[in-house]
Formats: sequence, C-alpha cells, structure tokens
Amino acid sequence: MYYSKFFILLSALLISNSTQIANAQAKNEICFSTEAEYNEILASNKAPLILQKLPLYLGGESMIKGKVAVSLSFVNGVIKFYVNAATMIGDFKITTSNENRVKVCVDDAKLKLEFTKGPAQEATLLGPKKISIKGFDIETMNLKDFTSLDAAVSERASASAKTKSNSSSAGGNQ
Amino acid sequence: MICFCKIMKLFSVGISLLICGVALSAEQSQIFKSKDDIAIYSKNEIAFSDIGKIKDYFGILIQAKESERQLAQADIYVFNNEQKISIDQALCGSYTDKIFGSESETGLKVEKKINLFKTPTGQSCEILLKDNDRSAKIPYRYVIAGFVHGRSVALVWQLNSVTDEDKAKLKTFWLALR
Repeated sequence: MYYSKFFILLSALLISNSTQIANAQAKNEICFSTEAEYNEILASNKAPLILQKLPLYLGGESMIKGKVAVSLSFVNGVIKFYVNAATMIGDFKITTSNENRVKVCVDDAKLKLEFTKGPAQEATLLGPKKISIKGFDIETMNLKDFTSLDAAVSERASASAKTKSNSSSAGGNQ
Repeated sequence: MICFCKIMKLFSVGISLLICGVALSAEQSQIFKSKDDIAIYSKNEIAFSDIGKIKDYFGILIQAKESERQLAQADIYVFNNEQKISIDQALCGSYTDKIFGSESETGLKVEKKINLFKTPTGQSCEILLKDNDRSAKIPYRYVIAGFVHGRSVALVWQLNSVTDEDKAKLKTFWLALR
C-alpha cells in the first residue's frame, strides 16, 4: 500500500520535473516570420549560427534516398521556404517541390517550420552548417551550388512512370 | 516447441505486412484509372512531398507520355470526409482555402473567378492561382477539383507559365480520368 503511494508520488514528481524542463526549453525558443522580427533577433545576438545570414541555402544527396535543395529567404519582408527534392524509386526519379510562407522557430537544438497549412516540420541542428530534416542531413551552400543542385533535382528522368503505371491505372472501376 | 512458436509468430507478422501492402496498393489503384499512361505515388514513397501540405494530400500523379515536365506531374488531394456529392463554386473555393490558405496568408491570388465545367460524371471546377511574389520559384498553381469514383479529389499542377492551351490539355486529361 505504502509502496504504491510512494510510486504515485514519484511519478507525479517526475512528470512535474519533465514539464518544467520542457517549459525551460520552450523559453529558449525564438520565432520570426518577417524580416523586421529576424533583424531584432540578430540585434539581440539570439540567432543560432546557422541563421546568422539569410537567405539560407541548404542541400544534400544520398545514394539511396535522392537529392534535396532547400532555401529560406525573405521576399517582400516575409520569409519563404522552398524545397525541391528528387526521390529514387528503383531506377526511377520522382521530383517534388513546394514553396510556402513560414514561421521559423529555433532553439539550441531544433529548427521548426510552421506552415500556413499542414503540420509543422522539425529539423535537428547538427552544427553551424548542417541540419537533419526528414532523415536527410543537409548542409549550407552558396547560391551557385544551390542553383546547380536545384536544377539537377528538377531534371526530368525519362519514362519515369512507365513501370508503375500499369498497377496504378488498372484497378479502378466507376 | 519454443522455436516453432517463434516461427509461427514471424509467419503471422509476415502475413499481416503482406495484407497491409495489398491494402495500400488497392487504395492507390482505386483513386483513378485513365486511358492515358499514369502512375500514382503515395506521399510516403516520395521524400519531402508532404512538407507544408495538409493531411488530405495523397501523393503524386505522373502522366508518363506528357512531354512537358510542368504538365506531367500533379499533386493529388483526396477529401475523404466530404459530405457534398457534387461540385459547386463554394465547395471549389473551400478546397483552395483548405489546400493553400487565404491570399493574405500565402500571397496566392485567384487569377480569374472559379470556372465550373461539365464532365461525364457531373461538374468539376478549375482555378488558377498566381503568386503575388514576382520572384516566386513556383509562380502558378492550377487546380482542377471534382468527384472521381464518388470521391472528392483535387489535382494541383505547379506551373512556371500557363497558357489556354496548357489548361485545355489538363482539362482533357482530367476528363479522361475514371
């Protein structure tokens, strides 16, 4: 009986502590969606190293997963996120891209993108020049390298749909 | 005996995974069929394809024989909880709001008013959205929405430029979907 009370108290204490830790972490988080807000953060020296300079160009490639080019830049005073990615499915390359206004939130360990629609996306900071997002490690790069990576991602692979088309178009009935 | 139980456990897990796989392929195959050569990839298959998109985003549709890259690929949205059974201007507008958000939030402006057109299974709608940002990497989004297989579906093409000929081509493609 005493043991169970002790364990209840202990778990309550642990939950309370973890909530306090979470709150403390949340307090370190800084967010911006406009150039003015970003400049304030820069002025107060609160921006992590990876966000010291915008626009930010990031990219990476993996033999298995494909290639991705990501940028964060201000357009008319608001920050925009752009992603262009190519995935290899067998020998076939499928590309996808998106461009959205975002709110960027960062703390010591994470960078979070909050979109107008859809769930927020978190990335782990792996140093001043590297982040991990959706299982991809991507590094900062200059505009020239970013532009060529972006173009390489977009290059169309010929007849990329052929193999799968039979299975996806055959099953329906109206 | 213990070894036999473990083998049976592994076997049952294998069977369950196989059933899940078959269910997924069946779901994919029932979205569309077309006389055109098409392929559908779910969002789970394509890295980064769901980033910044709503939960109704399903995946990517590719027209294998379309030579123009920007016309060959569209994002698929499936609105499974739709209560209405036909498309009207209000429903069509609500889909663009759902997918992108309002103009003030996104900078995407509806170019012309929503256009309804007839299909063999009722009405569909088309909307062209233009990004107010002149330096946008994706300047236009062209949306066609309607009911296919009794399911409310929208296709979104990301376009660099758009002509009446392009729109006519995409509408013809949409009309061939079953």
